[in-house]
Amino acid sequence: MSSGREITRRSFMATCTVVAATAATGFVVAPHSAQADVLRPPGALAEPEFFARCIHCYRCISACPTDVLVPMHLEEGVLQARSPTLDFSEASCTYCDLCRQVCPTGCIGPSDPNDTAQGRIGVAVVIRENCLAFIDGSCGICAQRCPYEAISLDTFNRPVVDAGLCNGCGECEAICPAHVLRAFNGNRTRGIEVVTERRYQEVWASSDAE
Amino acid sequence: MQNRRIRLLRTLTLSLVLVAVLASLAFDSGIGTPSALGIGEFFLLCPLGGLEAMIASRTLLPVALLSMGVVVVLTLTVGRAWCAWGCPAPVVRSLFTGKGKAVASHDADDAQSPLGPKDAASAIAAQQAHVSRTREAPLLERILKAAKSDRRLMVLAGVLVASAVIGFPVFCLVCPIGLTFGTVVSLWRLFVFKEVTVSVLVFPACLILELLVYRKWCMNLCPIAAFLGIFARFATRFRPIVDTSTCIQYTGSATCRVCAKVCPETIDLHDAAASSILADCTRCGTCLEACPKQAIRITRQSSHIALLAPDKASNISKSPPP
Repeated sequence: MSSGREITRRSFMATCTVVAATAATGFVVAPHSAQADVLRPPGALAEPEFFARCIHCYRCISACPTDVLVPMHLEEGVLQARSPTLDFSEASCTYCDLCRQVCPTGCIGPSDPNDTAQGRIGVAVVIRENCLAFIDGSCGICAQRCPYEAISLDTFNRPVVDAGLCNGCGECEAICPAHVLRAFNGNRTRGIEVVTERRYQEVWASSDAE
Repeated sequence: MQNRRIRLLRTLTLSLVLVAVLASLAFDSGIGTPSALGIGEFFLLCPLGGLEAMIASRTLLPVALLSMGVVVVLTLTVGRAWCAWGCPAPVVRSLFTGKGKAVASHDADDAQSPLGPKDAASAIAAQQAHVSRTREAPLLERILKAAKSDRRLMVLAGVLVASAVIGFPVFCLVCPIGLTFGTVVSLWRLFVFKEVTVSVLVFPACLILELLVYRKWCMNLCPIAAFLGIFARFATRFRPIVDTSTCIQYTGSATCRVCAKVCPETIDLHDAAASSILADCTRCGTCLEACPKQAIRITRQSSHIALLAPDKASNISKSPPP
C-alpha cells in the first residue's frame, strides 16, 4: 500500500520540531494576549477564557443587528485578529443577546443591561480634554441619550457618569459630536468613551469614588 | 453519477458556501463561516476548532460535541467529501495554478504503484484478499496501521498538543479556510465600512504562501483532513468504482493509469490496497472526468473494493445515474 503519505522518520522529526517550536513560542507570547485589555461582547467570559475558546468564526460579528461588533485587526494583535470587539464610532450595543446565542464555543455568557455586575461591556468615562461641555459648556447630548439614565449633568452642565448604572452600551460614545465639531487634533477619541472594566478600575475608579 | 454533473454540483455547493457567508454579512443573519456555519442556535462547528477550543479552555462544550458528532456521522456516510465539496482551499489553489498544474503537483515518486495484473479477475481477487487480510488482523494492529498511514495525523496531534500548551486554538491562526474567509470579510468591510487594515493584504498573502508555495498543504499537512480521515475509512458508499468490462487496463493491450495520475489524493483504483487508500477519497469526480473510456462511476451502493466484475458491471453501468 503506497499513498506517499505514510509517517516516515523524517516527517515525524519535522512535525515534532515544528510543534515544539510553536508550543515554545506560544507559551511565551500567548499569555500576553490572554491578558489583553480588550472590549468584548456583553457577557463575555474573562479574557483568558474567551481567548481560549474563540475560533474566529465571525458568527457573532455577522449576527449583530447594530454592527457594533467588529473583528479585531491584525495591527491590534496577531493572535487576536478576527476575534470580536466593539466599535462605538457609529453604533451601540442593545444587549439583544444574539451574539451569545450564535457563539458555537460558549465564549459569551448571559448579561443583564440593568445589572452592572452581570456581564457589562465596560464603563463610559468622560475625556475632559475633548468633551465640548467641559471646554465651553456647549453640549449635553450624552446625558439626554443614555438609555439607562447613567449620565447626569452637574451644576456647570458637564456630564458625569454614574458607574453604578453604566453598562457600557456605547450610546454616548456613538452620539458624541466632539471630534466633529472641533478641529481635528490627531486623535480619534471623543468626549466620552467606553473603557473595559479593568481599565476603569485601574484608572478612574478611585477618582470617581471621591 | 455522471462526470459533468459532479463538477456542476461541486461548483454549486462551493458557491453556496460563499453566498451564505456574504448573505450573513449583508443581512446580519449570523450564518457565519465554515468555521461555524448555521442558523441561530443550530450550527455545524469545524471539528478541529471545537477540539482546540475544548482543549485550550480545558472544558467540555456539549454544544460543540453535538455539532462534531453530526460532522462525524456525515463523514461516516460520505467520507472526506468536505474537501472537494465545501473547502475553499482547492478552489483558491486552482485559481492561481489552473487545471493542468494540479496534476504536476505530484512528485515523480508519487503514484508509481506496480502496474498490476491485466486480468480483471485476479485484480479483483487481489483487492478482496487485501480486504480480508485487513479484517482478520487484530484490532490494535489495524489501528496502528491506519494511524501510520496518514502523516497528517501527526499534524493533528501536534496542533492539539500545542493548543493545550499555549491555551488557545493554534491552528485557527493559519488555517486556509479561516484565512480565505478572513480575506472575504476584510474585503467586505473595506468596501462597505471603508475599514482599511493590513489584514486585507496579509490574509491573502499568507493564504497564497500556504497553498501555492507549499503546494502539498492538503495532502501533507491538513489536520482537518486527518480528523475526517479517521472516520472516512468506514465510508464505503459513494466511492468511485471501475467497470472492468470497459476499463483499458483490463480490456486493452495497453496499461492505463490516468485515474491515478489525475487524482488529487494520488489514489490508484487498480492498487490491491484500494479499499484502504479510498479512505482518502474526496469524491471530487476528477477520475470520472479523466477516464478515457468513462469506465468509472460513483454509486450509492456500498463497496469495499474499487473494481467491478464485468458481469456485475453490466447491471450498474447501464442503470440510470442516481
